[in-house]
Amino acid sequence: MKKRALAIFTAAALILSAAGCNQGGGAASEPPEVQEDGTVDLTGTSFTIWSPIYWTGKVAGFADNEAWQEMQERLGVTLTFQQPPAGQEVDQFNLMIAGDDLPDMISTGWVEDGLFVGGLDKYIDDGVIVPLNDLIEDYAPDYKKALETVVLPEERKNFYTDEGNLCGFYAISPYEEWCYNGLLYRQDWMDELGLENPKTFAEVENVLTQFRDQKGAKNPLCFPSNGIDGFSGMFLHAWDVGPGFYNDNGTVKYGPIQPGFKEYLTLMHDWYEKGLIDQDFATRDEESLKRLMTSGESGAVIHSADTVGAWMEGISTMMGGNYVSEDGTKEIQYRLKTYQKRPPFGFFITSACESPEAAAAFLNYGYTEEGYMLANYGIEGETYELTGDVYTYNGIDYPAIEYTDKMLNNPDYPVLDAIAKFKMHIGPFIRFEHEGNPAMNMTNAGIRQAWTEGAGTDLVLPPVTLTAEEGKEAARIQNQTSTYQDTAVLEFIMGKRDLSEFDQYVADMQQLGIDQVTAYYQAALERYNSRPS
Amino acid sequence: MKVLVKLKNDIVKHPWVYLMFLPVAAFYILFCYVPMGGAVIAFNDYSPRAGIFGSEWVGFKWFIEFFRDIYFFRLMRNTFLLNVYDIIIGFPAPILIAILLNELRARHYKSAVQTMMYMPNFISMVVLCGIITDFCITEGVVNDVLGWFGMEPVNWMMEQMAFKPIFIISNLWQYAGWSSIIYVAALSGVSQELYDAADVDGCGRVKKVLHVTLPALMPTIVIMFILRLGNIMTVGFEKVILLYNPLTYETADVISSYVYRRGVLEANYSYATAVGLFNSVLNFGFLLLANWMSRRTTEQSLW
Repeated sequence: MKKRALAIFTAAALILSAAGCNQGGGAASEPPEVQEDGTVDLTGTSFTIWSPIYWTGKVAGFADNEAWQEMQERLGVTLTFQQPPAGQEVDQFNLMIAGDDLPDMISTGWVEDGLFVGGLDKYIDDGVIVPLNDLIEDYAPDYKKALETVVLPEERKNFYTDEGNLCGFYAISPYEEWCYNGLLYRQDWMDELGLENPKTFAEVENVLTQFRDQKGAKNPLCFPSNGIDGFSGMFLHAWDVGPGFYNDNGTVKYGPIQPGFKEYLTLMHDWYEKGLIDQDFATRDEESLKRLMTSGESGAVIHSADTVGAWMEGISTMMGGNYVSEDGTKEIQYRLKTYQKRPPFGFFITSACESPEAAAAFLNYGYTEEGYMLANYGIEGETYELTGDVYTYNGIDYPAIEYTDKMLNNPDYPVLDAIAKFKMHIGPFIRFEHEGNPAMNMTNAGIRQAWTEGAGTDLVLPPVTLTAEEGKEAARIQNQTSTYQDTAVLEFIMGKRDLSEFDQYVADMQQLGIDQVTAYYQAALERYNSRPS
Repeated sequence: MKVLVKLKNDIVKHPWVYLMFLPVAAFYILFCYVPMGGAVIAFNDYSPRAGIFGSEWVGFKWFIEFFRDIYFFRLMRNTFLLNVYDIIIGFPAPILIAILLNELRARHYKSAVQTMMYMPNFISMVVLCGIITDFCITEGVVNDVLGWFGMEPVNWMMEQMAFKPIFIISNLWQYAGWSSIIYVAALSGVSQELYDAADVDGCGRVKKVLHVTLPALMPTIVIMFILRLGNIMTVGFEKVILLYNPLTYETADVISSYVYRRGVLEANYSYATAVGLFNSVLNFGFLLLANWMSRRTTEQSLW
């Protein structure tokens, strides 16, 4: 503990000294005037922005990003970025909140709204961030319009908290972005063995058996190391059960204690005994999965299509697996789901901002056509050209583009660096992932689209939030239940514990209080459902 | 008063020494003593915004929560046992190495051996645990060797009984060489005359080790042992979380790894501080006990 305290103290000292350099960058002191056309002249204003970076690479931070630079030039705004080192975002954020020197705006980065531990409402009550409900009326009309037109009515409430606060400027996707996680087979082996994409458990078993017998794959199927695919609930969803908390027609249930979960364990145990599932799966990390796949020791994996596609480049393309069930006809109702609200890198205006109105007007830019074209694709004529076509989503037309070589084949900036240099990846703007992500190739896009369309999402729990008190108690209980469950699931699959003890396992889980946590989520779901839409 | 006068005289006499000491003192006060005050958050429900003294006071809530945890005894047992085994096996090793090095006469060979033994200490923990895992999985080199004796391959990383031996043996490899430095240094101060005198008395090599080398090392050994006991309830979580998995929780899960997992669910600084404070109190108790026993038996002690 002494070490941790020491680290925090040192970091605090560093932050304080760094913050000292920033005092010149205050915002405009008077609320800006809204002009007749609804825009706000921001010339001469300046803001400080705290934001994590997208990823580490050639480009150090947003200050070096040409889209951010262009945005400042166009609006006449000066931005000062405070960017915490990768991996220290949460600590740095808490130190910043604890200190008195807040920036004008905060972006959450990949941690999303979870960066505000205890919920956004609490931070509004504590006076850290300001609610936007009224601000966007006059100062962010395009964001307001996007919330009303781009966002479908049933998804609108995701942008608001249980208490009805609109807290952040979030990336808005005009559509559901394709799901990225699922079952993948080696295409070349499937072709050589003349196998169809399986639809039933028996067919999957046949594929894996042939991989083992004909292709010498010692561990045909790579398996998630805790025994459950937490993203898509692979195989488990065939029994209408989700991998964690899920929504059974308005009732929240916890998947790993349902009768269907026993069926799942029985099948997985059977495959494990037959040597079809990686015998050492509990001890694998990302690197070993990569080795298993590239060395031909395994031929199937439950993972991200983009990631595995990159691993297997030059070896084989991957085939995106169908959703499977006992008889092959069942409609699956659980998979990875994204919403129109894309929470990573949401932007929040703090109470330290001298003119929240100006900040709102500034953040509004990403929802104007000029703004989202710049954010998504970079600068016209440099990184992209208009093709003249349009995409239409929900009755709204968006211009179609083609990237130039500066974005796609830049010798100085490989694609991930090109993204960080020439465009914004995700943040306060209308986001076109399918059209605007230069890193997505056609094979993966096809696989991801099929996964998205191949299953429904009736069982998926919407993005509910626990209150601060519920969250604390849930964390206490879940640390015990997940410790117990993780061991039990592995033991069941590996046959170290007999499945006749499943009922005992469920009783133990209940003893540890899992039903209490389920009740918290039930309450959260009810609060979510009663949010005004 | 007398002490102060003495100190003043000393400062006047050696001003430069005290000037050089100033930054060191400032360092310890600023970075070791001041942050200790932060431990009070163990008794409140700390929220960064409300600050250390502004947060709600909850008394012993976090301590009680920890004691009531169903895994409390398992965590205490694993933490304690890992340390006990590490002391039994890991503590004598560097002493043995230092004595053996001391017996080496070929200088180049000696420094080559020393350098090689220091190396593992500098390997990053992540890399090291990756190597250990690769050695111990089903297709790993450990099973290749055991296969020569007709044993069926086993994934040792998934065996409860294997975790502690893997942990302790790899610790030995990592730290034994490095930890021997302090003993080697202590031995460099032993006068050659003592050995010469022992020669005259007709001592062989073993006798010289027993009657010259070991007694010379004794004060260092005692101090190191007391300090080691002061850490008896501490196991760093890095190595544990890199080596364990749910199948080996029974023998591998220690206090720090359990608290770390909870930290992933929720940034509860107060809970982590409470557990840390409880740990420190236990460690401090062991330290006092060891110091007292040592003073009674060997007349060596920290104070």
